[in-house]
Amino acid sequence: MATFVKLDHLRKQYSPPDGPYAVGPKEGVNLEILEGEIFSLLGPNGAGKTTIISMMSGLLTPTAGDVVLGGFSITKQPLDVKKQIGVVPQDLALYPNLSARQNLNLFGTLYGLSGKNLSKRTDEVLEFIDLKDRANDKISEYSGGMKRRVNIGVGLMHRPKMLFLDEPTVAIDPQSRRNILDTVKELNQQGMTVLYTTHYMEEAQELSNRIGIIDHGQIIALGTLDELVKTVGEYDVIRLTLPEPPALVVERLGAIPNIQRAETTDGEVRLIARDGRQQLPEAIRIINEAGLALHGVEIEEPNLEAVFLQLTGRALRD
Amino acid sequence: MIWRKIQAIAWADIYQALTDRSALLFNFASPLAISMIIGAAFGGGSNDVDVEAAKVGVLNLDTGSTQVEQAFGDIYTQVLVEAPPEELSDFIDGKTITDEKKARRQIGDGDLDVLVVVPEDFTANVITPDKGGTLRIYYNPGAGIPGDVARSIIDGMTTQLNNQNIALQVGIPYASEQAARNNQAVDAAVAYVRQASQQLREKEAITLNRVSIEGDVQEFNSLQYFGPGMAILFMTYALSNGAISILVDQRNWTMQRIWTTPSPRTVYLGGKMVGIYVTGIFQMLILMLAMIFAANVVFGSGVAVWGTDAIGIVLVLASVVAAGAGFALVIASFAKNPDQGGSISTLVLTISGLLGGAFLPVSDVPVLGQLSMLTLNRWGLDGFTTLSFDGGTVMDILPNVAVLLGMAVVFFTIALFQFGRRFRS
Repeated sequence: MATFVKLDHLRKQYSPPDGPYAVGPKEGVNLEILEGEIFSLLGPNGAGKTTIISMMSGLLTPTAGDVVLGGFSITKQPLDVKKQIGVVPQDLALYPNLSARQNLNLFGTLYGLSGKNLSKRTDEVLEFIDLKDRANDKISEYSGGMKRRVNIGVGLMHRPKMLFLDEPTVAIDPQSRRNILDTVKELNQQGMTVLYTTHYMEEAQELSNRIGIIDHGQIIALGTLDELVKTVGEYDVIRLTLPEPPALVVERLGAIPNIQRAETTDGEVRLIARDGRQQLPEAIRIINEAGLALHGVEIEEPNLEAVFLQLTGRALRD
Repeated sequence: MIWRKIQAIAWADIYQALTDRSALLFNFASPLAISMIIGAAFGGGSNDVDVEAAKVGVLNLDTGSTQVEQAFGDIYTQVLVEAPPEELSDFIDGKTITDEKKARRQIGDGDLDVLVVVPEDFTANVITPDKGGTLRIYYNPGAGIPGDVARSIIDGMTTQLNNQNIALQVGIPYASEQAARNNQAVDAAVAYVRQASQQLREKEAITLNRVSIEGDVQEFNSLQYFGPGMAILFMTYALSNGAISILVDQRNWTMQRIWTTPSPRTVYLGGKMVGIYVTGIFQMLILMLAMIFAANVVFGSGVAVWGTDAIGIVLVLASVVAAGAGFALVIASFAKNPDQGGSISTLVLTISGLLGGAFLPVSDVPVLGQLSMLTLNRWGLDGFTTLSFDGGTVMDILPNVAVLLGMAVVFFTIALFQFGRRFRS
């Protein structure tokens, strides 16, 4: 697959009152997204995902570097870049007192559609997001999932070559999330390149051809799911449900041979262990010796969570 | 294409403004209700808010008649100039006129409110039963209440003369003359007096020929003041909602989303400005029509609440809405968020309305009168009242229009600069 997007030493330096902090290392972020792939940026809240998408879509001017998308530079030819992208923001960026049809018409006009093309495309998008029956109802009367679908529909009005989805499943029910994930897959199957940001490991694992893990404004790992998991080796994650474990116990758990790291998060202790099942009896023994009540045990095969934990020492949800 | 995009953004704003029921209630019903309450409190029609004396000139050319002791023209001079009755002295500031042309010019310039011209043969014609005399009354409709008062006094005098004095003044000397010649003719003379009196009752001996120097007579209605005052105040409230919608768009990310479309950022602000302006014009037009309805149908006064000079009305309307839109954008551009914008706008716009005379006339109040000149409310209100009960024309409101457009330019420049700074990425 050919390169569709290239981030070339991209960096954003925030000054007071928003900063000081930077998205991107001193040398900037370098990244390529291939034509027709789903690329996910996975990272915790505040990692810099939205800042990168904002620079890629021309909302923020990079302090340094550039984004070349479809052969056009975002700093030199922003309007040419914007013609090729659809942006689905994390917020429901819709006019609540307008209907779905009116919102789609408005943004379709802003994307350059008019007349019969506009009304035809509006109908197609309404069909695609399965809201034709409610097209003339106000957005404020929709459920959260329906609003999310319109939010995506707006980004599709001009048939963009690439779609940016910034955390599109935040704060919605499982059914709506499933619907959105299926929609993203369907769009990709139609040939659309997708940049998907999330802090949900499962979504990145399910959707992505390639994943970039981002933390503190820097991409700390990049590759396919298999490639990333391999960087953890054969380590499993052992989750021990153990409310308020003493630091000494956590230290002793971390000192077990073949356990690489022990972390406490949200009432549980996580152990990154080579062959987790073999290490579990020793871990339980230490807990029993300390007189602590173990409420649950779970062993996870290597996954992106483990990758993130290994790279940063923190869980994705931290 | 750019204009189509600007239209699309403007349409979205206008549509939302005009379909928001609570905003409609506040922006349209409130000013109408307040104006009508105030109008009703002032009687809904003419009132005595202005007691300034009318400047009345009397040009008395009447040479009188041998048949009456006093020329009737002298009565007008005495009552209006030389010795006005005590009860009229506060309302009349009379002077004798010698040059009719000059006096008529003075009326046009507003230096004189009413000119009474008594022609040379006035008395002679009055005492001729089948003829009758004619007074010419020139007046400035822009003189407002003082002019109306002066004309009412002249009407009253004329009616009194018609009803009571003339028949006797005509009949008695004639009867005496006849009696002196022929005692037998007394009966015939008395019969003549009766006949003359009857004729004078049937056909008034004096008619008033009124000539308006600048237009038709205007009747004052309190809605002419409070209607525009309230309409402008609530128009600024509505415009501030439109301006604050920029902050709402920023919070909801609709503004940022628009910026991700292949449209220059100026399209967004342009669309917002057009939307805000058109909403303001629409609101003012609705209120203007509603107040015309209120004045004419509810109060039945038959006055032109906004005046009769269509071009003048359009100019004041266009310029006051432009200034209001600019002012609302300035306030919004400095607010941190929609909530703060709403609070600050309400406070600032209410103070501006108070200072500008929306609730009570302040133009003659020391200090407040000068401060009010800083508000768009005052200039807009002055513009509308100049056209309505002052009977002004386009030329009279040009200074108001110029000041309001100047304000609009300054406000829009500040707002664009501040929004530009704020949205710099």
